[in-house]
Amino acid sequence: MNREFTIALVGNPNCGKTSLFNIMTGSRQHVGNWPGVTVERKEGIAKYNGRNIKVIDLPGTYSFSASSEDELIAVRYILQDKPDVVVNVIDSGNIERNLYLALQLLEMNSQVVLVLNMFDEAEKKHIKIDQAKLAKLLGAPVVATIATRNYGIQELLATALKQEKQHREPLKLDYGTPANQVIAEIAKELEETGLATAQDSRLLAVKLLENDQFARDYVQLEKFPALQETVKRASQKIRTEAGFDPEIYLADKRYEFISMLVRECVQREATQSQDLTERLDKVLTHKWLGIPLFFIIMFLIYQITMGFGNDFLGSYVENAFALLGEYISGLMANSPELLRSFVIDAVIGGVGSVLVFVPLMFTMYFLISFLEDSGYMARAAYLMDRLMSAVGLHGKTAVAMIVGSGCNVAGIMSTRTLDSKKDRMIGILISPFISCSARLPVYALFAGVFFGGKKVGIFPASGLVIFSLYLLGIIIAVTAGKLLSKTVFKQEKSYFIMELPPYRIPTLKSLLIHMWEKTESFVKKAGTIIFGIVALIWALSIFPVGVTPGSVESILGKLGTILAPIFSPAGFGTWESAVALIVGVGAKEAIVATFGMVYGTGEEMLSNVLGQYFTPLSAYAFMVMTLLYSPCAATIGIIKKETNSLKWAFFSVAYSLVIGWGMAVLVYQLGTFLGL
Amino acid sequence: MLIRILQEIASNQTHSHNSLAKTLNLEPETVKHMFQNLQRMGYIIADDPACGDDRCDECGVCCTKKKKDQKEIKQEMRSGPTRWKLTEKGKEAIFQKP
Repeated sequence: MNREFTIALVGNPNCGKTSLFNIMTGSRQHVGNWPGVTVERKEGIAKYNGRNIKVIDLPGTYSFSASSEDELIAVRYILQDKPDVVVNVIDSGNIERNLYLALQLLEMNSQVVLVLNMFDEAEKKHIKIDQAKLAKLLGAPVVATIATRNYGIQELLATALKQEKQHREPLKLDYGTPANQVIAEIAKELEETGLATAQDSRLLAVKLLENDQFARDYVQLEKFPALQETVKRASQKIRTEAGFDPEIYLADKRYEFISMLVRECVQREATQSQDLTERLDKVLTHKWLGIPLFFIIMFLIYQITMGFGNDFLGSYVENAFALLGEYISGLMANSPELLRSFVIDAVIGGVGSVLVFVPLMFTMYFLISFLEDSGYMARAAYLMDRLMSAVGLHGKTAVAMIVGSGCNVAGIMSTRTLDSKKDRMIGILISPFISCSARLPVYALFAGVFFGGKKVGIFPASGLVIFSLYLLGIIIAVTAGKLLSKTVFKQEKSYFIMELPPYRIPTLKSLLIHMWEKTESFVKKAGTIIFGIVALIWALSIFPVGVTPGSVESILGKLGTILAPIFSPAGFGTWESAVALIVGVGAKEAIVATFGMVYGTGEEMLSNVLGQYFTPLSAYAFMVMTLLYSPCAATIGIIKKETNSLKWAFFSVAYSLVIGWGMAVLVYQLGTFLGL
Repeated sequence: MLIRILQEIASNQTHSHNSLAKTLNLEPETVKHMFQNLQRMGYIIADDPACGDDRCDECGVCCTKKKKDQKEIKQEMRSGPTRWKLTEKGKEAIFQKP
């Protein structure tokens, strides 16, 4: 009677090992636990030519450097229980990754059969593997299978059984001088002390040199001082002669071999998507073209946002609010004056003037989501990274700037990934200069009123104005960062590399979800924070009792009158502008709401009123001030939280106020001088 | 190979994973696996911006992440870059040769 022949299936997680086990053993399976642990042990019986073959499905492992309980079980089983044949299941589509474990198995003198599983998946990925050549180079049989289709299973069983009568020499990887020599010395000592057999001594020697904890425990190295000394001396020899730690040096040599195998045995045709990604990247991440193209793309986004989102879609919402205002005004004709003023001036005039920008937000976020989901924003981060590094800032600051263009709070939060405190401080302090979405309603209002209908070349001037403000924000942020890094925070060097995802066509559903998620917070803010601010401003605008609501005699008017002269050199020294800017520290969108309220009208009428108080030049100076002058309350709060210092929060407000005011004055005075 | 990767990261000459594969004349898949292995060995670490991954920092303003299901988060992460950086062990391997 034939004795029971045992096969152990071993492989990386998700290589299709369990599917193979199921198809080999059918219903003849037994599921239990490995001794002492809760990891599932699966064994079953396969039949070939009337012979029973015991099959053990080992937990998935990436290498012999077992780091988890599952991996330990697999490695220990192979070393201790010594199955007749180890079947190494390889995911053909990820052959490079799987070959790492294969090499370690082949370094042992155990009978190994390599199974190229999921062969059809590899073909779909246009990967061709030369089985015969691979078998020759590795000195072990290679079988192709497709477990889900029962393909190659009989050949695998036949090949495994054939190994019973074969003698296979272990694969001797060339680890180079002096590693080969010391590996042989340790292996010999392991065999002489009875700690390893001729079968596994070489692999264990390598693992000991790599300072692998499992190997140390397995041979109980601490109990053998002489061996310990040999390993120590050998490691030192590699360090001295190769210049690197044995762990990385030996793994490196393994990869050299894998790379040779892949070059010789694997042919990979670029798929359409890889081709497309490569071709697009050649242009979009080009050393010189990449950054200009990025700015052109962003420029076009703001053009579409203004042209389609604001001028076209926004006009419908404006009309709807105008009709709503008229309708409610009619309904409340007989209501108390105070209530009527609150609803018409504060709610419709204030909150309504912010909500008319929802179509603009939808348009911008739809386009930004398209860039994100398509994989382009990852390239933008990569390009900005290079730009940042070129000016001597930490590349990762660019991520904070990109995230901050949605919301400065999020931008500041993202600086948490910067390693050094100095890098973080710079990231935190420059993030508020990046134009966030809350400033967009202010730009859209002023650009629409003062630059709408005009063209620069073929482009609408309003889109160009908004784009220039975003660009100015980046320039000021980079300059401030550079100054801070040269003065207050001198930087340490950082090292990193990026893995870029392939391009893909985003789904409409995903774009709509992202668009809504981002706009939702804007709508919520209009209904909560901005509503609260507007209610407060409205209250300040009607007191003391007896004054004309929203007049210069009101508390609000008096407060604004005190501050207005400060802004005169910038061309907008009116009490209304001063009040709007103060309110804007609470939330930037509230600037528009405040104008809507103090001028006693909604956004649709603001267009007419603003022309009486601003010129195109002073309007631009006002937008520059809005962009730079102070972080909003939420941002100030997060700066305090992240720096754990009230001092830095105050510093952020103070230095941005100076820069904002200085830039607004510069723009206005220079423009006046040039006769603009 | 692994050492070359660490050296390339340290030199800040190459910034993307794919261009690194080209520089080293390797298949991008091989490089990808090397990155995973270097991470397992503790020489490099992957890190993502806080508001660009699945972590919600409850910042109170732009916190939409917490509403997303895992599928959406994974989708978003796939469309973003993965940033790999040297750990102290990685820096030591490169700069403090014995």
